[in-house]
Amino acid sequence: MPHSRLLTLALSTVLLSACNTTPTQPNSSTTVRVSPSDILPEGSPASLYYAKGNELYERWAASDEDLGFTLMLASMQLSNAVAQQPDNVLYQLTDYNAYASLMSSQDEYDEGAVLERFNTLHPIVQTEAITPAFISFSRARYAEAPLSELIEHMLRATEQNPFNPQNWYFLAELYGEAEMRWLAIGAADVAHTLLPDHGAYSYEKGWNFYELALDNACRSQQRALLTRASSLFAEAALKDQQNGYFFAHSSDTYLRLGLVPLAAAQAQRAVALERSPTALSTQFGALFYQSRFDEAWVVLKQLSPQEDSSVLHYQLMESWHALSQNYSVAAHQQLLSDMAAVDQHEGIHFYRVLQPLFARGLPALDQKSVELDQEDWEITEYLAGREKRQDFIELASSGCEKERRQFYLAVREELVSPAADGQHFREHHNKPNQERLLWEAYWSHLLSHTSGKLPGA
Amino acid sequence: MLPRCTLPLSHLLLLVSTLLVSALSIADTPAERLAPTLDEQLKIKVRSDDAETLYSITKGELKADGQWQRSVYISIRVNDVASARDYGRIAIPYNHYYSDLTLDFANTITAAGKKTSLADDAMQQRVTGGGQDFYSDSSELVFSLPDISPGSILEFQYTRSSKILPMASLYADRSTPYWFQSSVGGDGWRADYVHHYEYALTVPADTELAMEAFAGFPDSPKVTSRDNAKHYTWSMEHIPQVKSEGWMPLARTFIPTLHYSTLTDWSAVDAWTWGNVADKLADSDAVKKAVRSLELPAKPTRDDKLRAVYGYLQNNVRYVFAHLGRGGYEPHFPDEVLDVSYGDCKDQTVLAVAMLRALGVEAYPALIETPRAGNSDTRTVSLIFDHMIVHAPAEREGQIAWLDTTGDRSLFPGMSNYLAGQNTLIVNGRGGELTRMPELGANAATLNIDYHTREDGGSIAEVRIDMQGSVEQNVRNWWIHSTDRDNALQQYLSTLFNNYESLTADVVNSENLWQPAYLNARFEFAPDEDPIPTYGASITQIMRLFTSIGNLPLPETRKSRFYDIYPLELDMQVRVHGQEGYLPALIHSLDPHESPYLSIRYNTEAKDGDFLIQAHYRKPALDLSLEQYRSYYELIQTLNNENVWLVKLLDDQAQQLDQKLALTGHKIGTQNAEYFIAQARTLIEKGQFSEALEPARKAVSMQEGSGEAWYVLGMVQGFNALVEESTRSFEVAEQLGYIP
Repeated sequence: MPHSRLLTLALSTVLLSACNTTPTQPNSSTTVRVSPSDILPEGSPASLYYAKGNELYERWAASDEDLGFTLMLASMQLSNAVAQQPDNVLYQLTDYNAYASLMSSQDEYDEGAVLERFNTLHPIVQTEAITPAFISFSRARYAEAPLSELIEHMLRATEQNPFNPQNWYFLAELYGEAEMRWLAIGAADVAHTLLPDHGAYSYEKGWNFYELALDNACRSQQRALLTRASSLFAEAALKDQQNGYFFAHSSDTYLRLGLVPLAAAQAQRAVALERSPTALSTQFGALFYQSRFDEAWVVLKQLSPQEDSSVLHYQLMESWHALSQNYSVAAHQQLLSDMAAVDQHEGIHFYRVLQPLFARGLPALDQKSVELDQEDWEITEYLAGREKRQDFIELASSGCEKERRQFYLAVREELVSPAADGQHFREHHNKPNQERLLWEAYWSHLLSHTSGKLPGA
Repeated sequence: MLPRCTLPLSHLLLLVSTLLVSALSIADTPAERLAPTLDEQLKIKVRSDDAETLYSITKGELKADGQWQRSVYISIRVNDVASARDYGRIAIPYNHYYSDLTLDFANTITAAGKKTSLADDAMQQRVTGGGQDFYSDSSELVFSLPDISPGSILEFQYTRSSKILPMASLYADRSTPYWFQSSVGGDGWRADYVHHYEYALTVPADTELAMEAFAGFPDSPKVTSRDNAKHYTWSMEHIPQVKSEGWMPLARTFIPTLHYSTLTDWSAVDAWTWGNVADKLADSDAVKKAVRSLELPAKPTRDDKLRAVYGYLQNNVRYVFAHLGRGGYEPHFPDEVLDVSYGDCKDQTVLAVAMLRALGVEAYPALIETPRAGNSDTRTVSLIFDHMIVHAPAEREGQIAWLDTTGDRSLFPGMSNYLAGQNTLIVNGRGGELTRMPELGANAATLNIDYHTREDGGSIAEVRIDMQGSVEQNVRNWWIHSTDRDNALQQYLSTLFNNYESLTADVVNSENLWQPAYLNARFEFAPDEDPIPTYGASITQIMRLFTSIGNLPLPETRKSRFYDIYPLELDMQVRVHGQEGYLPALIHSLDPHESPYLSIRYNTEAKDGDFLIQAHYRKPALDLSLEQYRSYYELIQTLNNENVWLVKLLDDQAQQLDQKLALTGHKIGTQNAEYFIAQARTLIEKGQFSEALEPARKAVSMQEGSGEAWYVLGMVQGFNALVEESTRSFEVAEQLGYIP
């Protein structure tokens, strides 16, 4: 949308507020108040009124003090400029923004009055101006209004100012919060159409496709949704090449799609931009699935369990890997001890997976404290040898459940059973369905690259 | 530009003498020397770095029979090479019909004291006439003295004597201390510092003289009576140099000047002129025939008649001043003019008056002093008028009318706006009426620019410049008489824009007597990097065409008041045409200017998808002190450096969406699911959620198996807060496998 960029070139930085973001946060406390030179004599030319009004408005916007009089004076000066040059779109926009800011700072906000003023703006300028309903939304959000009310305000904002992409973007975020994914996608889509070069809009759209994909786990459309999400994340990363977050999410979706080399490349870009837990986590995943375990463990050391609870589980995998490479009783005991430290409800999959792999020493499951649901109990019983194979399979309800049970079947029959040599397991579970990236998928990959048993199992 | 109907008088040399000429000769007998010897003058202290007039002495005598004689002595010391160049040639104009001119002597003395006289072969009398189509009794004496170099003093003395008195009862003269010398390049003049000035006049004792003094000239002469005569003497010492500059005020406001005359009543001039014209105003057979040839309506109005006569003279009578041996004051009879098909201003005026009277229109000749002749003080009478025009008094049928038929294809009624404010004498034989020519309409121009965007992203500016008054007259006259006019027009208009690809231009109506001339031009501009251009407008565009915005003298160099007596009105109307899918937006504007020197105001308007900027420039007549001129100059520089009005065509997204939808409808029709889907999407993007419901529902009803239709319906329902319906619609879309 070239015009908005062109206008932006002509306009001052105060337009951050015009793009429906909050006013610029001050870097330092600015307490310059009004001085006599700020008040222009009557009959001053429009350009002076505008310059002074704009200066006062910026001063107000940059300050953390309550400079209500400064804003009022800014609004007066800008009104004078517009009175003389009503067709100058720059004057119109700044005057309106100051007025809207003034109105929004009152105890009671009159959206109708602001809308009336908004409707007098040149259509081009409206796109850049603060939407009256957006102010209502901001005030409601500050007051912690319910999500439904916030959505109402933003819907109104998009009606009042449909060509401002930020309105649609905020609406998309709200719909996303409300888990109304398709509406979120629709709203993000409009924002994206209005401003195709803005990475955040592609990302928002992609995020909702991603969430939809997770909601459709193990269903036929999941892959298509993930594919859509991945292309949108990649598009966002391409448009905003300094945003590590976009690269990290792009990497994550590639990983889920099994496109490990692409995932690795995006993860590398993400980490180069910012060594955030998200970026490092995706890098860990990419290395892990490339079977570059030693490098993966190095990355793992930069992650903190306090920031990401998954880290504990990765650490256990690391311990298992180390144990399988170089067995010692002491290390075995240490692993058992580490496992005991993991919350059993959280780490139930360890118990499922590892129970049959440890002949002894694995702490017994405290059924009551773990609070297993029916499925978990059946899996645990099966792995413990107390449930029959036939029942185990037939009792699966969802598609995901079936897949999961197949995995545990393989663990028991191809890895753990006395006759198993692990070869079949390694051949068939090296690349499990990674779209869900459930813990079983991780173990599937790890187990297929390490020996399936421990000494004495 | 005025039609020439005058004696060829340099406007400032008028101050020396307007009436007095003589046949050339060097006096056979030594004339009385009016000034000290050159040896004595060598001792005079130098007071100027360039040149200085040591003595400027005039001695005149009016005799009882009205004849007169006047001797003039001038001595000048040149002190630098530039002055030596300027004074290398002395020229003294005169009219050999009315007077004789005798060169008494001309000599030089060098700084070393070497004296040399004028050589016979360095002097010439020549008939100069008046230029193209101008046959008059004008002559000039011209000579070059030897040894003109820095430090030399040159002197010359000449005597004029009357031969024929154009108006017997009138003796008048004007005098200043200065000798006005043309610059060697012919593009200016100089009036150097004067050490000693004296004007002595002897008149018969019973002759009453009226006199007026200006700009410091002594208003009370020394007067003595002896020998039945009165002797007047005026003198001045150490008069500073006057620098020739542009936009100088009236000379008598800053150059010490004396006017004197034996008359103060202009009715004498009326009677004298009437005596020259009265017998020429009758409707002779030739005049009647000319009147019959006019194409008049059945019941012509006064205006019809004025126009018809004007048109007749323009189409049938060429301008020629043919008055050799006739003195130049008496017109030819209309029959003669009709016979030869030419005549000067007097000839054309009497013919026009005769024709109008034959048509029943009251009309008179009127004498007018054009700006070339000056703008005289009329408290003393002299023959100041150098042009004649037609005056038709107000009647029941119309206002006062003035007609000037002498301009070459000038717009009716042919009156130059430069004549406004000039002295005018309506000649009626009943005492006449001395007045000043009223304002003749605005001097104005309007620059119209229409900007369009080309398909390739380039631009077109269609320009039309309408003109009035002196602006129109100047352009029309220039265009008619210029040889390389097409090239000149291109160069002239190139000041409007500096980055164009091509320019075609023309002057329209330059020969049309009834419609003003105007300029047409078309500029084309190549596409910019930005596919949608930005259009600019500045009042300086038209100012560069019609004012001196680019060549005002620096205030530091200015010596005299700044005098610009012609008000000017300039208007601009700029229209930026919108394009489909784009709206013009004003992204930069300018403040108006209000000052005593000029005012600039602006109006803007968004209209019918276009954007209009109107600028109005008004400059009154200016008479500025040096300090005021500095302020004026600085204001002009500010205007020159000011930014411009900028209008940018920006995306009109609502319109673009509508266009896209219309195109879709055109391609696939408007009664199918695909169209209704597109329509619903368009309405969503325009924020018209409730309006989007109907097409969204229609799409689904027409194509229940379309996942996209259900998806769009789901969106529309969601944005209309129909949450449950929206969820169901999305579920169906999902089931149908649609992924947006």
